[in-house]
Amino acid sequence: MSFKVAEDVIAIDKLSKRYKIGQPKKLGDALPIFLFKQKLKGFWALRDINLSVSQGERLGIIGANGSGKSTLLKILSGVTYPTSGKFRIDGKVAALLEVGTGFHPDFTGRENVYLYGTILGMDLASVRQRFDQIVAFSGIGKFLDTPVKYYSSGMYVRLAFSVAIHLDWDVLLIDEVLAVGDADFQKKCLVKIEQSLDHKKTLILVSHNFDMIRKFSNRVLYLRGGKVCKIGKPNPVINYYLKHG
Amino acid sequence: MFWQLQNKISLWRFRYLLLLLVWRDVKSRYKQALFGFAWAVLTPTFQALVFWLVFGMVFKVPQGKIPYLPLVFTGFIFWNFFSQSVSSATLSVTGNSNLVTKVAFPKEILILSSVLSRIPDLVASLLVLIIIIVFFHIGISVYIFWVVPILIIEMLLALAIGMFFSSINVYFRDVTAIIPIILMAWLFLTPVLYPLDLVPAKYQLIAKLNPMTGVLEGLRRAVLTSGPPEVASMLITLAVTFVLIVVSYVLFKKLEKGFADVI
Repeated sequence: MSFKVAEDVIAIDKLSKRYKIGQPKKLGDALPIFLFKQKLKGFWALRDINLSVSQGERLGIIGANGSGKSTLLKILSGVTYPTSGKFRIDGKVAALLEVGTGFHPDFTGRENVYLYGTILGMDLASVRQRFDQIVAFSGIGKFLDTPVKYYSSGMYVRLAFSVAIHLDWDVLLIDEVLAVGDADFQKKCLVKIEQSLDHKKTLILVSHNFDMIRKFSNRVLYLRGGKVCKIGKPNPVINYYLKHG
Repeated sequence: MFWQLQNKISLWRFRYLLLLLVWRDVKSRYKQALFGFAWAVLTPTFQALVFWLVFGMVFKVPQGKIPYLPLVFTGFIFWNFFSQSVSSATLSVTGNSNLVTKVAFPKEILILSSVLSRIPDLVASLLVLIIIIVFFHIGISVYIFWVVPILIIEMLLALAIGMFFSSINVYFRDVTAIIPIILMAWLFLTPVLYPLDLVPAKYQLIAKLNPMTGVLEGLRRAVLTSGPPEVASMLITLAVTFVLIVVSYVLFKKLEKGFADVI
């Protein structure tokens, strides 16, 4: 790819990820593998991915289930590691992969805002600074001091998302999370994301919702079987996917 | 390889997460109990009473220079701190699988928070110890300040053992079953319920290679006999602790790359 290096916020070079199947969980199962050098079966979730994303770009990722979309985001966010190849991301990365992970059921909404904020890598001062905004955005109101185990799942997700969406970021990774919450709240989130996007911020969005992909991305990557099948302008790639996918 | 990412996922950036995890652990431990944090004091109080009844009244252990109760209780509470830290650290990675598989953060934070969140319990036990010391007319001297560096060594030791077993536990859950056995054996091989002098001369060197021996003996001297720790024994403990920390950290960091995939 012939982008200028300085403008690439994300550079991915021959990235591959292989998952092992049937990893032993008991010592007894591990012994034969160790002694007889049995090879564990595996599959390649990602194979030789090369990709550059420049600053301000909004990349949509589409593909069937199991095509490696989520794995790619997990690697970019640092949750898991590539088997081979390398990548680089500049700037602050925020990942909305599975929102609400790390909420503690016995703690109140207020306490969980702080806990979740720090899980996402915020410092206490910035959580405190944005606290009122976060709470207002969530619409939790009077339940702020109720333990979240008594929350409805909708309230839970709304609060979690409100924390996540108030993060500082240069690169935002989103994986289908917008499919949660009611329609009004979803809309509110999309508006909020749209507002924070500017020419310096980079977005990577994984979704099955083509309307959303069309709306948010100016380039689309179609993954098939862990490989880059097609990449380019949104409409041609989406049409190709609908015809051949 | 992960040249940029490595910097971002640094321990320092997640210091607030560590703080809140400790707070979460401590708070949730006492939140559901009727007496709440009072249990942190009640538990060691009852333990001291049991020691006093069993070994003071029933068995009548011969008393040495230092009465049996303060001698054993001092060893016991500092051992408990170590053993509880190690057992919760061992389970900390697998127990937080939702975090491990979904959020990028340095996983040693889980081990650190397991150890740090045991400190309030230790402090509560120390209150009981002070009462016992006063009761037995044992004087306190400036040597008491040795408690701080020795306690830091003990925490490093717990971190090392915790990192070692927690990372293996992700791959083989057998560790969950083995760790209580290891800790029990270790308890009896360490002069916790008996003084070091009771160990036969030919085993003294082996006993001193056990880093917990140096830690507990040092703490006992600081608290009970008003003296600095024995230099040779402290140096052995320091050296062993250092080796264990390095080995465990390297192992932990190596295995950590697979945590999210195999947990």
